[in-house]
Amino acid sequence: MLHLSNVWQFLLRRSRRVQAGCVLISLFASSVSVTGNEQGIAGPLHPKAGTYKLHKIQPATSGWVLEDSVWIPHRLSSYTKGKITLFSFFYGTCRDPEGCPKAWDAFYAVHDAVKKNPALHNKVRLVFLSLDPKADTPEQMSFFKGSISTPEAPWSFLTTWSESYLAPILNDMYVPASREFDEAGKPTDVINHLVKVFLIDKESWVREIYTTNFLDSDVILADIGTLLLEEE
Amino acid sequence: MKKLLKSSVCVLAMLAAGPSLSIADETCNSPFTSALIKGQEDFLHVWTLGEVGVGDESDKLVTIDVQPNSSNYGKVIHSVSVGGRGEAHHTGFTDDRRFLWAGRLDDNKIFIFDLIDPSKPKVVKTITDFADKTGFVGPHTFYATPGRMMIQALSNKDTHDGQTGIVVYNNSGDLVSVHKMPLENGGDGYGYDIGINPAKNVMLTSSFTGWTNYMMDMGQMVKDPEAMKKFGKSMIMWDFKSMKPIKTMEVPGAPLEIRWSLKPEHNWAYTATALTSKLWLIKQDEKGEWVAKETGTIGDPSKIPLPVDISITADAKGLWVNTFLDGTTRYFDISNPEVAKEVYTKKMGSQVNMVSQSFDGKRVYFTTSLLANWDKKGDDNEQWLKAYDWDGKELVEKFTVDFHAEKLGRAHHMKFSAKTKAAALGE
Repeated sequence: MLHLSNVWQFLLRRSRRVQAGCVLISLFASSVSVTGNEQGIAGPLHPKAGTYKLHKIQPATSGWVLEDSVWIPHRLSSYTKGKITLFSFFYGTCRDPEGCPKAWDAFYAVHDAVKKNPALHNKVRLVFLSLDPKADTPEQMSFFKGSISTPEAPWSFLTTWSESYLAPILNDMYVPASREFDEAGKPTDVINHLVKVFLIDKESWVREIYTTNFLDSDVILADIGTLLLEEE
Repeated sequence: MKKLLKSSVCVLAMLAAGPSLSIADETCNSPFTSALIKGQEDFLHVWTLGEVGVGDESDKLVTIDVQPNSSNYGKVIHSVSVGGRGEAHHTGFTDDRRFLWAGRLDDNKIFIFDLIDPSKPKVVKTITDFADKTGFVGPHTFYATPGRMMIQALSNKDTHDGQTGIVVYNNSGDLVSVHKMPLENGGDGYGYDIGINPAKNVMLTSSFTGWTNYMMDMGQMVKDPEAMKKFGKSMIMWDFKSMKPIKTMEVPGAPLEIRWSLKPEHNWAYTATALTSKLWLIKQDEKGEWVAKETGTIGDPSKIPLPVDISITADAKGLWVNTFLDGTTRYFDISNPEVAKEVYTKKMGSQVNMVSQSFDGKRVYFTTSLLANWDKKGDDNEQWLKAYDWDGKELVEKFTVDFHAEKLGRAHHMKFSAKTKAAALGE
């Protein structure tokens, strides 16, 4: 349970950091959905939501995943349809400050914006899928979910039975990941992976992909706004 | 192709997380390409044009061992022929650096090589309907964006002139979108290279010439005044997110390769013009407007040395510039990017085209071929790869691979790879 405690402290820290930026984000999100063509901006360098097209890049993948219980498998596709989905991979013991934490930051900011804007309620979901099924059991994933997810802004924390169930999902999403070895050749708990965040539309098409160093929650929110305006 | 990701051995370098994504590579890949090789590269892959009377006469990807500690150092260790001669030209890694896309400017085939074992690249997919699906021909620049490959074409299938566009595929090789080069607001419709500055959400493109010219014998073309009028003279700054042009800049004489400074605090790019033999700086002025400014002269423009490939150092203080017709490489000090100073010159051979340097700038590689019909004839048609060490003052030759003696063909575009073993999840 040590890593859960670390993650919880991490989440609290993130929460405090993100609060200051929430007002602006919330205003932006509100303008996207309420005022139609008077969308907010994702920053001065990025175009306004709805003024550009997000092309269909690839279908989101399927595969079997677990949530809450080890006994009841779910299709990953059931988490990528019907709502706009922000999807990425993580693992509970990830310590690379430039890796998972950056994805957490972006997810947290987006989640907060969705929570604070009623017009976005039930239209956006967030999904994390663990890269470490051995350590990140369904029970432990439930802890994350219980700490963060809300009915109006669902945030699912998924895992798999084993890496053999995870690997095809990684392959389909072109996310290479490997376990690091120590000097004695034994596997460590460090998983090297290319951090990618996927924005998926209601029809389960990947419409944008972000990498860590160019991961900006304001841009993600603008893209969500673009997809919502497209639906209208 | 996706299934190949399940292989038990993979390149650890390509799995590195965030930090390695912050800057472009050794030193001209897309900033979205992960896993820069900041140490010693192990292999050099050379996209090679097949040549009549040379070996199997087929285009091929040649792999050379460039690890100095290897018993095979400086030797060709692998070659995979793709069949036919279609004007092999440039290549580009996918964002995860797992796959290398390689294009042909004449028959428009695109070969996707899997580098899961970088010592033995193998073709896993060939795109054969590029022209039919997009209307463009001459897939030139391969530029990775997250989960996608952006391709700058040079021409179109209907008129074979310079009106062309940009095509985006996903990493599986499925077409995502097509974008025409603008003809409005000063745009001339030509295309050549792509350079993206993600921090500014901008993409810069340059301009060359159409199929009719690049497939013509060079001697014939330069004597044809009408043909010589059909070269690009513009660079376009785009809003990368929306893929909409925001500024067209006049840069006469076919601006070719684009190199953004890799320093995060910088906000400028360099290019060289082939026909006018000038270096240009593209930057934002005090008002935030993107502007192009001439910063230096390359050789004697009256002799048309024909600047071709350029390579910027990781610290953005130096720029290698090759001039094809006089077979010379030049090193410019651009520590003040407003004024480019030539500080080193070396005659490499009868002709030289591509230059590729290691991230630390200590090793520099050169190849010879420009285009099959533009390469020199007879004894002047040298075809080689030459590897050098660079100490900041002098190029010291380490080895040469004679592509004719090795029966390989015309040596063109180069990319590095490295070997590090790790176990992919699920294996």
